[in-house]
Amino acid sequence: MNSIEDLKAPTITPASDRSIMIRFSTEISEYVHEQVSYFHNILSKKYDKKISNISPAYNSILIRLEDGVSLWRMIAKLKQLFNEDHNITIQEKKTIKIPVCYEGEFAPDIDRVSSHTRMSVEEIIHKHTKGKYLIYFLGFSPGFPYIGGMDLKLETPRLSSPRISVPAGSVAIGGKQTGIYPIQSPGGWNIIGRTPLQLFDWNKLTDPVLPMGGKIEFYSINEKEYQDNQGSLF
Amino acid sequence: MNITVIKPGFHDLVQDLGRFGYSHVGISPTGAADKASMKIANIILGNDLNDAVLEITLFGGTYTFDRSTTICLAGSKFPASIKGNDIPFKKPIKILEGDTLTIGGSTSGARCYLAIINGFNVAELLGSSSTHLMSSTGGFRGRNLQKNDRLPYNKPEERLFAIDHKFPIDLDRTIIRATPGLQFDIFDTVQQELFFSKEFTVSHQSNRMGIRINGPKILRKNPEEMVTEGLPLGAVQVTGDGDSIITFIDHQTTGGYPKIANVIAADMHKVGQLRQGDCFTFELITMDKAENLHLEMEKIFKQ
Repeated sequence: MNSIEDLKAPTITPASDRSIMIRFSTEISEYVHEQVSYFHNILSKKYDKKISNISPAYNSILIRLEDGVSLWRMIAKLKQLFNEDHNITIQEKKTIKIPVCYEGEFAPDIDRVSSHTRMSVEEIIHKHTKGKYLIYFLGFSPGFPYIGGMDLKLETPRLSSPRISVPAGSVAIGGKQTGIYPIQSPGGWNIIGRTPLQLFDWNKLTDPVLPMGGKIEFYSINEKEYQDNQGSLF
Repeated sequence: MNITVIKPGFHDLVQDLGRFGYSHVGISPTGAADKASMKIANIILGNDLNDAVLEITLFGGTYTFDRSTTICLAGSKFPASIKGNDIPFKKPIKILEGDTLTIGGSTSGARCYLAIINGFNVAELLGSSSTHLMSSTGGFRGRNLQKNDRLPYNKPEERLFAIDHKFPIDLDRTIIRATPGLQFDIFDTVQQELFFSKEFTVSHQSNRMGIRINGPKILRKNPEEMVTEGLPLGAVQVTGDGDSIITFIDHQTTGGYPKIANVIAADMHKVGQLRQGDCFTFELITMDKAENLHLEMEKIFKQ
């Protein structure tokens, strides 16, 4: 396990009179992610009576205070916490293998990606399934993972107008990012496939299917295999 | 015991103070849009502050009660009557078995709240009764009330109601106070002054996720893409086109637009009362003053 050596003290600023922003870096990297993840755990355990919500992101953590908790006293406590010694190590990552059908009705925008990237559909599937993706955090909508690590040759601009409804399980490319929609929601990314598995479960929020800090790998399945596994739980 | 919806209102939702502790999995709190009015209605009935209420937006409907109980209305003024008799707001109202309550269209702000002794009885999701519209969960079947719905309420007990509560809560919607937002400094002084001096009008494209407001275009000279980060309640985001959006209770937990200002906690209930066409200006205040106003407001609800 590698130790993260140059842990700089994060900047801490009020975001509103009821919330505090903690910024660790301006960069996005696995090292910064480990800091965010480490302090997210500490904050949620140590200050569960003072903090009502925590939103970790790529390189920052936003906390919302319980009503009546003093903003400046909490900021002083956080500064103290970050001044203590912390031994942050790169954690072993759980890998989640997700079957994706990149065919037919499940992949309405794969031809658009193909013509934009000048690659065949086979090459797109090959490159997309070769990647190892890190879940930096969950945000936007319930269970939505912000993942990094896509081959930049697959970069394709978002749709000019978003779809009102993207089916749950859709796998998509938006600009430099790839993503997966755990629940049905609006979305403006190019849909290149769909997984038959159920990725979000309200009863498993403490141990989500796609957890922050997990790694994702996609593998290709055909329509028959999709139908056979439709709605299965992880 | 149930209320039966004879005619639904425009957007009747079961809400409480919100679902907290799940922002890190992408779930925003939701809850009542105007928590001050919701709390007032519950306090008058002697309920817990968090007991589930019905949030009524723009115009209400017609509801029949199958058991006697006591209710209280609070928030913006909506005409309300039982058997043709007008009923006052912020007072306990005795309901008899079979009574029908009719609520009309608002004569002021966007919302009023119907509290009932011991609250409405819906299955809790993650410790809260609030409706999460984006995922169609929580509250009553994850949606607004419809004709013939039967919404259960809890068994009432005999209570003595305190009279003479004082609630110095201001529902005026012409000035909304705000502190500097997280990216206040990336806007130059001209843009900051524009934002805090010109009038904004609430757009029809507003909902519980965000209040879109039309006003001066706040354009930056060198707009850079921002890294997505946590989104505080009340943050005023400025889009690439220079339009402003107030982040509201059903908001996305993270976002990538810069935030020029943040509505103070003590004025969030006013945001919950904004309706299409309302005009207002933002007033810039310090973080210290904002926090003091929040603490003062908390005292009001501790009576």
